[in-house]
Amino acid sequence: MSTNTRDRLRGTLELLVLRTLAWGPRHGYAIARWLEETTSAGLRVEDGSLYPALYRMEQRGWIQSDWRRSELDRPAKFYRLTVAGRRQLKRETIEWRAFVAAVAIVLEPST
Amino acid sequence: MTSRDDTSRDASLPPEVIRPSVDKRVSSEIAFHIEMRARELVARGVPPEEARRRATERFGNLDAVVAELNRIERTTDRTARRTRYVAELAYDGRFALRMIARRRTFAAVAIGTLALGIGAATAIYSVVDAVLLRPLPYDEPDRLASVWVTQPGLANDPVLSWIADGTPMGSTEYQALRRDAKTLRDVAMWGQASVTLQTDEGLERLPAVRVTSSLLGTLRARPALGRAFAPGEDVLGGPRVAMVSWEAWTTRFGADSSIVGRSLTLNHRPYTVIGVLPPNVRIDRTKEAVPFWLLALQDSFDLAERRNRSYTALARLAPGATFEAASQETAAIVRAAASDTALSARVTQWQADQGRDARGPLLILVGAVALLLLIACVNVTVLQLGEAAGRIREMTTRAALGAGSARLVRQLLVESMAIAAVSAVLGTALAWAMIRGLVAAAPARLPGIDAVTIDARVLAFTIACATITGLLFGIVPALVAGRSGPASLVRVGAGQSARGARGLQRGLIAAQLALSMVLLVESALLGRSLRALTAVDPGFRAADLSAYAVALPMEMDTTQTRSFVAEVVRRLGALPGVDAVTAAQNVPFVGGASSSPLEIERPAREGQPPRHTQQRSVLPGYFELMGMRLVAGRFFTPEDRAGAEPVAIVSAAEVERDFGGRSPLGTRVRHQRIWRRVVGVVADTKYRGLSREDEATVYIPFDQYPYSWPTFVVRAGSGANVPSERTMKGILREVEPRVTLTTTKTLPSAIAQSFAAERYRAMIVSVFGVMASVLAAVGLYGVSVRSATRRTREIGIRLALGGTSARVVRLLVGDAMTGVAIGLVVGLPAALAAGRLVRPYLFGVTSSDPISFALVAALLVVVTAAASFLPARLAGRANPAVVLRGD
Repeated sequence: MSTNTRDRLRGTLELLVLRTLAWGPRHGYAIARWLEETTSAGLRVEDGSLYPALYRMEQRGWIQSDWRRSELDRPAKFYRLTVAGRRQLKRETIEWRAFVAAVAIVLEPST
Repeated sequence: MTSRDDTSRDASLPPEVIRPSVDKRVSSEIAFHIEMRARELVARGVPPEEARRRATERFGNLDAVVAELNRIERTTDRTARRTRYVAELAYDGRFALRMIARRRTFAAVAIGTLALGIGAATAIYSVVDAVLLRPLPYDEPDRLASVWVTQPGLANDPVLSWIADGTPMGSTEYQALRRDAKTLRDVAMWGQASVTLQTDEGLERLPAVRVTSSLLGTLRARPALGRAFAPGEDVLGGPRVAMVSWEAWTTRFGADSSIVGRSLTLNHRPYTVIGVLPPNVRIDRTKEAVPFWLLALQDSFDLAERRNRSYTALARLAPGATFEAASQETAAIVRAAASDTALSARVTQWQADQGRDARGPLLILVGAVALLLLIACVNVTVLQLGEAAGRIREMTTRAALGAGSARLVRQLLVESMAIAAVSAVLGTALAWAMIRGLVAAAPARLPGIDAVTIDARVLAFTIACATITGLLFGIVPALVAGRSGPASLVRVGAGQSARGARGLQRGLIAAQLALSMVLLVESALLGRSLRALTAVDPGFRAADLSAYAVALPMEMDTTQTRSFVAEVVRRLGALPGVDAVTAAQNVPFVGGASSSPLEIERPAREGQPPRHTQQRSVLPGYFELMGMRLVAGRFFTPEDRAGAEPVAIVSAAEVERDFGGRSPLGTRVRHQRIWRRVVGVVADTKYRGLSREDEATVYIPFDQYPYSWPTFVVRAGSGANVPSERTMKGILREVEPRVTLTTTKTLPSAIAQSFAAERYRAMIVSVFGVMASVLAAVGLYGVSVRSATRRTREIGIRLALGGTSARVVRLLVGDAMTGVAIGLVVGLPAALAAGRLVRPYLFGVTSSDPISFALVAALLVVVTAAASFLPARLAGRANPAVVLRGD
């Protein structure tokens, strides 16, 4: 496993955001709503903590943003996946599965 | 960040991003989030006030998040700005190319103008680079030193001034320098020679050099094949060994490695080839690589006591030594060695020394081409300012869309650079062609001229040139746009504005005319100087004369020489079409010159030591054939033969110098240890150059002083052809097969060759001058057309109010004339200064020659009148009703 466990925990939010954006561009609030709904509020984060994650991901080039007309009839910032982001999503997904498998082996040793 | 799929923007305009500040962006994003959340709560039935409070609460620590986001965003912004800059630059580039494509006439004229300037600059630079700048292909070439003995006291002696600045060396100085010099290492000498090579087809005369055995070591070069000369071989009676140049080996000897050890017959003696030189070793860069290297100091004439000085010295500066120190040490050493306190020395960098004569004239060309390039820049600036008028809509639209001044300035600069880049490509192609012309027309003795090419160094120059050019002509419009907004640019172009802006355009035109004036005055001065030079009477009639210089083997004695010359003269005279034949030593402009001290029996000034005098032994009939004028006494006759009383004829300059103007007839002069009676005085002739002072000369009958390098001179009958080289070779083979023909020239061409350098300079500068006037005319025409168009309304009113078209034409042409007047006034002092720079190269005209200045002024006035007349006449013919209605 290439990433250590501390990074993994922070990376979880990023992985979920990448996953969300894989379906198309969304603004920050839409991402927050999606996270609430799909995880059935199981992953409770304060709304505010989502944005630093988005900004950092943009800085790394995984996502890109631009201002577009929104449902409120005024510009909102929309995020979308870049090619690098799509690659990152693929890699993170594989690593996450490996991580989960490893933890599972520890917790339920086979007989 | 802007995205490319944003289609709301006009695609033809660059991305002027409407970017709110960082803080604003962050806060509006968060405000949007909270608002959405609040709406959601309201939708679930929460009262709006409460919904807002809960949405904010749910967001967490608002201030902390905002602060962090701002921090992240600012760092992102910096990197983004960089990427954006590059992206915008690329966009600007594409946009610029589109603009160029759209404004074809402007672009064609601008690119043509600049390509001409850049091409000419590149061509001249390539010559300068090859001749003066490109390092020689040897190890540490900047430490290679030319070592010259100088005799400053001779600078004013017309006969000897040519050695004042660089006296050849002999073995005495050489040995002393090798032994004593601390500042010089690896001292070596070389001298020009020519050899007669015996081949299967017969004898062939080829250039060669005689070198000391140390020379190849001084260059730190190794033989490509075989061995180099060994120390101790360059002594009297040393082994007859030769080295062959790489070039001769690959062409003449078919790159056959068995050449080493082979025996060649050079100068009728067997020589063993010991090695092949590496490629591109050229000791005298003014000449082709010589095929053979022989050893110096092997013959008796090189012995120290013979005082033969015919070598040029080359050395390496010792570590830590300077050229200055080496000069001083060398002077001291040669003074002691030759026990002559009049000697001094000059040690300079080898390459610089070889290009010494070429440097000044080349700098004139550099100055001329710089002027041309500058004129091209000014011209394009004027054109571009004019173009701005056509861009009103584009500029104002972009300014309205929020493009800042900086953005527009950059766009304009990128456009200029794009034009410069295209011009550079075209200019390089043009330079290729120009270089061919420059090299083909180059006079002999331009060192390195055959190595002129466009290489990486020259291309780097071209790119630098184009960049500076682009900035130069781009900066004015860009600055105007930047300082007072694009609208002012439009005003300047349309000429609608304030005086200042219109003044700028006028000023540029005046500057262009002033620059053209400088260049034209320079070419007029050089041209008139050349005319004066060619008008000089050489003192003989060159038309229909041709000369054939031959080399006799050293083994031929004086009797054999006399009969050989007599027989060749007889055979040449028998050829059809030949009117007369003679032979002489050192025929003017064909052979070399040689001098020796001439002692006067009763000198005008007591105690005056014999002074060096040009010497020339001639057949009787020489003076008549050359068409020389007899001043007093008689010419030589066939009776002045060997055994008869030794006689001499002196030149007018000799009478002036040594006889104080008294008649020398009957007095005796001593030449080469023989007292001779002076029987005649002849008018002076030029020998080495039309601009040179007349030199004191003594003529001696050939029979009494048979010289082994005679030159035959033939006068062809009117309309007849002179004997060909082939005919001459045939005669020589029959009379004496060991004699070789060294030079065949007609005298008019030989004289023309003597001012080839002057003609080359004058020609190039004139070509640049013509280009400059054409550019000025094109620029003026463009401006006149625009000015006539701009003033249509005014003209319409004038015509409607009863003005005649003649008056309109006068008005517009008069305007242009004001410009030319300003240009001439400004250009005058500059042209005077430039004239002083070329003064050393002028002959027969002063640097402030009024005729040259008047001619140039007249030319510029005519060009201006012509360029402004056509548009003015069109304007004057306009129908006032149409003009006024159209506005």
